[in-house]
Amino acid sequence: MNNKRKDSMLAKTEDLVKEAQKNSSEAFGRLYELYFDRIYRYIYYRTMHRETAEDLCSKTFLKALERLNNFNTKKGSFSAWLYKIASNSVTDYFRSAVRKEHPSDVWEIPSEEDYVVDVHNRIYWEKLKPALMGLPADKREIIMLRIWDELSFAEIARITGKSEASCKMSFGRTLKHLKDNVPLSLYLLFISFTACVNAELINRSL
Amino acid sequence: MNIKEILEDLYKIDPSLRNEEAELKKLIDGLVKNKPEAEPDADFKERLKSELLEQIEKKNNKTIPFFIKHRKAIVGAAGIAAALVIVLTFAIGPGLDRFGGSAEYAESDEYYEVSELEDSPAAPTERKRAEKMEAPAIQAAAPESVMAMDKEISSGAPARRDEPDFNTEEYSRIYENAFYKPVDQPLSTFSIDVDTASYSNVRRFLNNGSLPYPDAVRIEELINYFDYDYPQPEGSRPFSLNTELSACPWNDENMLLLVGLQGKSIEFEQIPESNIVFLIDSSGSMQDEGKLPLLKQAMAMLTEQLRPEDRISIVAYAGSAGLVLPPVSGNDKEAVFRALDNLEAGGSTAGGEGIELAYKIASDNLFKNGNNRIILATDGDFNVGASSEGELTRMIEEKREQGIFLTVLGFGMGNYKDSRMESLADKGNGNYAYIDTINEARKVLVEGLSGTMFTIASDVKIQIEFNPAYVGEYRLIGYENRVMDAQDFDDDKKDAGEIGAGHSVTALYEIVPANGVEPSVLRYQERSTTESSAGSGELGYLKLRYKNPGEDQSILSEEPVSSMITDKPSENLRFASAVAEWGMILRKSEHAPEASIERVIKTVQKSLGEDPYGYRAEFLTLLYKTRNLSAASE
Repeated sequence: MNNKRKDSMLAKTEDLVKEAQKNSSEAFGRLYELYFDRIYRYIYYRTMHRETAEDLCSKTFLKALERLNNFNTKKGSFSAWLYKIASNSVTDYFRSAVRKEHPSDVWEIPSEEDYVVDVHNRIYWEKLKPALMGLPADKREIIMLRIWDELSFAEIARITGKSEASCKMSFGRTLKHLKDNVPLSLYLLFISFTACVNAELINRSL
Repeated sequence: MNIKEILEDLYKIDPSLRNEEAELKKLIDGLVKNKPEAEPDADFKERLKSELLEQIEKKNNKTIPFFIKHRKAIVGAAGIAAALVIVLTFAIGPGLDRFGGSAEYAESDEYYEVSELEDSPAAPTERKRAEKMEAPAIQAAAPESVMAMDKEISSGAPARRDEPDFNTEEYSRIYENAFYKPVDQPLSTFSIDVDTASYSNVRRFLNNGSLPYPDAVRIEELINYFDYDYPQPEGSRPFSLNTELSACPWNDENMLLLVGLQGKSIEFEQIPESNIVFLIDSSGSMQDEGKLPLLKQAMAMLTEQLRPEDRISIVAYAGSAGLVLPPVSGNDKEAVFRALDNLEAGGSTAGGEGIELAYKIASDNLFKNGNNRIILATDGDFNVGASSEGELTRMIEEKREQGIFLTVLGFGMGNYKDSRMESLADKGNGNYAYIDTINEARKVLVEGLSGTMFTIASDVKIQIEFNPAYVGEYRLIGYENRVMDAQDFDDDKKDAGEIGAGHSVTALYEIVPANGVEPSVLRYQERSTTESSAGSGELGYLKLRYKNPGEDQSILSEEPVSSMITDKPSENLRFASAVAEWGMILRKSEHAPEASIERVIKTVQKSLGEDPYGYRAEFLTLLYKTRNLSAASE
């Protein structure tokens, strides 16, 4: 996206937020369309369960709607604000579950614990967990925000409340750590998974 | 995701990483490729959106017009109302800071040291602790609690429980269909809807002395509340198809196209043996005068008519769901009456569990070639969160595949969840009626029994292709939440409405004639004259798909729609257009600025027809009430 377009989109978002703050359902509807998919995915990557993700997504948008008038367009970006609400919803969710340890997302839940992950993603969860689980929550968050949620460091900085430089630093070091400690398993997973899919496709075509 | 971009970012921080590019690339690639699949559910997305927009509308309605709109009714309760509004405002107030605070993202100046990855830095922990203390505020923002807050208002003013502004009734926002040009959008596709709930609900509002919420008015349900005089079907098709074109009463320059479907009438004695499960909401909210007693009466009325070969079971839900009456034969009516008598209201509703149990009982007792149906009687105040609601819908969608139908009967007021009940019936291959009086119970459960209880065609979809030679623009009146994408018409997996025995379905299109075309006027002849000029003379082409109950493959039926306009519209068309015009007045529709209640009254006075049960006469009294209330509110 070139900068000019990005700027005009930001301006548009800002206008929409202002309109929505005046209780324009049309403006809020458009904001919703702009952000729903992203927020849903953000929550999904951290819960790995469709119903839970939908529930938390509802909570996030309901909260956003209720607190919209407290949001000041001059003080931060709407997107970061929304992600923050989503992030809090996820934290609250895992905190409310009765657990000895409070995991901050699905990646901290040991396999033997009673937590349901969607079947079609179970393979990812099981295999990625050894890599992601060993990371402190805030560092894992930055990895996920950058690679899965595909956010820029500027956005990540706003969401995590850290400086852009420290986000970058954390990201680089975490990747290095992963590379030195668990690269092979992850790489193998990718290979084996593609192999499975290919085998499946071959089977089907036979 | 651009891996290169990520790598470049990394090298800016630590150029030495460049030496390990191959391995880093593999790692990032692995992370990218192993990203979990997270496609959001489109249905859910839409549902949540309408829920949110509805909240905004509610807010909009609740601010100033709250007092102005219903000044008269509120006089007695004004003090209470004012106090409650303030309480509500303050109740929300303290919670607001939570995100207000976290929304101020002052760029952190501290250079965040990440010396060791295993470190758990203090700052986030602090933040977590702080958040923990604020936890109650978060809870207050959960959707259920929003309702709970509303509920406090309604119970705080019990004297005015029936006053719309004090209650927690929920309606989905309706965005009226717009005018489309056939040049841009030649196809109009929608699912039929035989529900009638909106009419009885609107009647309740008017009888209580207030105009209904615009979103409580679903015009197609108002139109379909009435019986029309369409011919019975001939041949194998389970319904007859009727079209008629006339001038539009509320806009001289436009035309009105009626599309009417008449389902085959079948006497109840002739429908297959039935396995019926009553699922009765006996939760605390059903305690109000008028709910449970009326429900019991209605159910008893229905039981009276069941035959020895039928099977009846009763499941109740309140607090926890329970099987109140294991399946008994239709002969054993006494057992059903006793079980109904013993029902008492109390506890909170666990609707999801109840529905689950009801489906289990229904499938355990399934009549393979019979009529299997759950009759859910409730005020719809399910105590389930958004996710469980999603699960509920999914469960119902799954069960309908087994051939179990669902009839939803709505009772009561004050916390009536209209949107949810309509969607349940819609998803569960069923119909939805609102029972506000014993007369209405009779209409739905005695006179309309075979229609309510027996489906003759499923997934009925209509698609009309408009001919731009005649049609400049067209607008489907009502059916807003039944409109489908054009490509879904031929997709047998896409769910659509069911039609019951003897049910009729009527849809109206307002049509702006194409420029320069004077529609030919047919005065004293049959419409068949157009057929000689094939290709021309067709206003459009009507396609209809339906499935025989229990079958997966749809049957296509098609015929051209004549562009001949009649200047002597049938009583069907006159009456249906009057109901539609009334609906647009109630909805404050932007599409009918010329709509007039006086004209509607005149038309209805002239088309009372036979009216054996007095429904049209009753409609006339509702029109008078609409006129008076509208005059008072202006």
